[in-house]
Formats: sequence, structure tokens, C-alpha cells
Amino acid sequence: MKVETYDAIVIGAGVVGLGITYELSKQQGLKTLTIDQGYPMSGTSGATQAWIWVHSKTPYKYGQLSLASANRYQELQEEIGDIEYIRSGGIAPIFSKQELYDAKALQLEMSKANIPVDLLSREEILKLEPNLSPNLLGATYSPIDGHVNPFKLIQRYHLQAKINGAHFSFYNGVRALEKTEVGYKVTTNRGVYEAEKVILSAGLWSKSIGEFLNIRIPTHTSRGQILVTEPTEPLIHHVIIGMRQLSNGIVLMGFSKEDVGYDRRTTMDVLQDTAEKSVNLVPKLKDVKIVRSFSGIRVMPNDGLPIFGEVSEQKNLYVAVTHSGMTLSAILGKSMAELVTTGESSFPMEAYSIERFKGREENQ
Amino acid sequence: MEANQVIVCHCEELTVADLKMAFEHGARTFDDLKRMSRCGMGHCQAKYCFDAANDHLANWSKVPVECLPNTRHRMPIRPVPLKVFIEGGFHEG
Repeated sequence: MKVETYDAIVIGAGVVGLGITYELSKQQGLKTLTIDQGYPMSGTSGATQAWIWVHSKTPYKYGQLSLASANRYQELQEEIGDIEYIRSGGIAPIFSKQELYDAKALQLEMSKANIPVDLLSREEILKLEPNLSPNLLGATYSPIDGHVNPFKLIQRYHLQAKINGAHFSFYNGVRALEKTEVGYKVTTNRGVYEAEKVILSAGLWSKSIGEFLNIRIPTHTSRGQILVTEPTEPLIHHVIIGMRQLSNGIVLMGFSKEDVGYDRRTTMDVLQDTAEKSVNLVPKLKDVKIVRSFSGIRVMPNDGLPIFGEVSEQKNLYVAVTHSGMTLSAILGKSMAELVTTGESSFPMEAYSIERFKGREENQ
Repeated sequence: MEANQVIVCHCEELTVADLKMAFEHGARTFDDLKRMSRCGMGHCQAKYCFDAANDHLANWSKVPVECLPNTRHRMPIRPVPLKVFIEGGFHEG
């Protein structure tokens, strides 16, 4: 079988892999190939509410990373075309005394990163969002939070990278990953490819691909189920934890997290709970019709933080596996391209190295 | 009328040309088309457009239509208000 050779191979074409591919494609003369077992958006990146969410990303350094990504989206909006990135502001409702104490702690934590978090009273929050339930005690609010159109973002990354000369191979699953004298050999369903550098950004599937080289990527799965309404009158104007309304009037709602492996079914119990929570939050939703439900499987690093950078025992092998890929793809793409081409990134990423898991319990 | 202006997805007003563009960018299944163009994401949830869109896909990619994967159907079958999902909602409604 003929072997194709590249400078770098990106495994995974979700929002994280495509963000990296796009940034790498700006490097003149760098020949890259991005491989995916499906088509962009067929996995986690296509099943999302696509918040670009910052204000409750603790610890504050993780908040800083999320903020850097949100800022990078403003530049990307100019660079790659309209991805419908909008800073709507974000609201985290408070229903109990305990949540109120937590909100005060959050405000203090985020102030270390200069991330504005306002603690609003019931009156203030109802002024901002009159359709929210009067049963809430208050909310935290930040103008930094927003959302993006995930389909447009992914298509723009893909298209612009293609224009810049990046190569792609879709519907092509990775069957083996081996070390060679000069780099790595990737065996797929449809061919064999070699490259000096490999970037593993395959989300949920990174763990099993890492095993080809005995790299342990400690992640688990987290299913989220979403309800989709018909287009309706403008009901909410900000991202509110659990829901957002799209520009076409559709409301997306979801609060669930379940570790059920790769099972992408929707289940009635969770959807009923989702409907109840949504109506408790925005009572007017009770008469709005649901047209669809969907579910997606998030990848969740075992300590909740991104796993990012070169693997120390495997030179020129890089990983980028994270929860909140939509929020983080902009900064992870930029940082990875810098790391791969210059050996360091302008935003400090050392804290996210996979090395941090060394010596921790096997089940961590 | 130009063939490529024929509407396939009535809910989202997508023409054959719109779907062809998604195909040219690499979409090979109905779900790919859906995520790229919103075909099938409207009120009917692909009940009207699925067969027509799949015929075009099969034709463009030169594979028999029966070899293409189905789209994933999800609840609800018909649009229903949120209150119907909530326990007791029938009675209070």
C-alpha cells in the first residue's frame, strides 16, 4: 500500500481538531492531513448548545483560558467569516441560600482573573430577563459569556483550512498508530500515512487511540440531552445556564449529565426532568411546543480540566482533549499551532499537560 | 424552472443547489446535509424531505439509495408543548 507523507497529522475533525487544523494551515509550507472516522459535526461538536461560556469556569486560571478563547473568537469572526459569535451575556440563576454563598465565592475567585461577575438581586435579574421565574433569589451575570453558531464555526474552520491547503480524509477511522524512526505512522481504513508530528484531538475516542502508544488519557463520557422548541417569540436574551434562544426563535434546553458510555439515545425520564427545569426557570415555556430532542456525548477529563500539549515520552506527539470544546477551540487551536511550530505557546498552557496525571490513582 | 432551484426542504426553504453545495463540501449522508444546511431540522423533522434529499445524495455519490444510512428519528413524533412532558401537565394544562 502506498504511504502518503505529511509534516503533521491531526486525528479528529471536531471543533478542537478543526481549530488546530485551521491555525496550522496558516503556516506556509506545512503539509497537514486531518483524519476523522466520520464527518465534521457527526459527533460531540454537532450536538451542542454552543455557548462560549466563561464566568463560572473555576479555578480562575481556567476562567482566564476561557476568556482568552472568547477574545480569540472576536478575531476569528474577522478572519474566517461570520461564525455568529455574539456576546449576549450569561446568567447563572440562584434558587437557594447555598447557591447564593457559592455565587459570592465565585465572584471572588473570578475577580483574580479580572472576569466581571455581577451578583444580581431578584429585581435586577427580572429587569434583565422579565420572563425568568420570580421564584429565583437572584443570579450571577457576566457580559463576557455568549454563543456561536457551531455549524458555521466548523464549516468556516474547515473551508478556510482547505483554501489554505490543508488536506482532509473523512469517513476514515484510525486502526493503528505506531512510532517510526522519523515520527509516526497512522494506519486507517483507507490508507497508511506518515508524519513527523501527530496531534491527537479525537475527543471521546482519544483515549483508545492513545492506547496504541501506551498513553493513558484519563477521560470519561458525559451524555447531555437537549430539547428543541419550535421558533417562538423572543423569551430570553442571554445564555441562561441550561438554555439559550437562537436568532431564529428556537429555544435549546438541557441540564443533564450522565456517564453512560457511547449511548446517544434520548430517554423520557431525562427529557421530562429537562422540561420541568426549563418551565421552572422560564414559566412561559410551558405552552411552547417541542419539535425535537437530541443528545450528545461530551468527553470529560477526569479532573475536569483540558489535557493539552506534547507527551513527554513521545516526542512530537501532542494531545488536545477537553470538555467545553466550543468555548476553547479558538485558544487551543492557536496555542497548538504555536507549540507545534515553535515549541512554545504565547498563552501559558503548562498546567494542562497530561503529565499532571502521573502518579495519581489509576482510576483518577 | 432551473432544476437546482427546486425546493427540497420546505421548512427551511432549501433548494437542490443548497444541498449540492453541502455535498461538494464532503457531506455523504442525510445527517451531514442536515448539520451543514439545516435540511430536515424544521417543523416536519425530515418527514417530508428525507427521501428526496437521499435520492439526490445517492445520485451524486453514485451509490444505491438503499446503501445510505437512515436519519436518526427522535421524540416527539409530533410537536407537543413542554407542559405535556411534565407530570400532571395534562390536567393543569
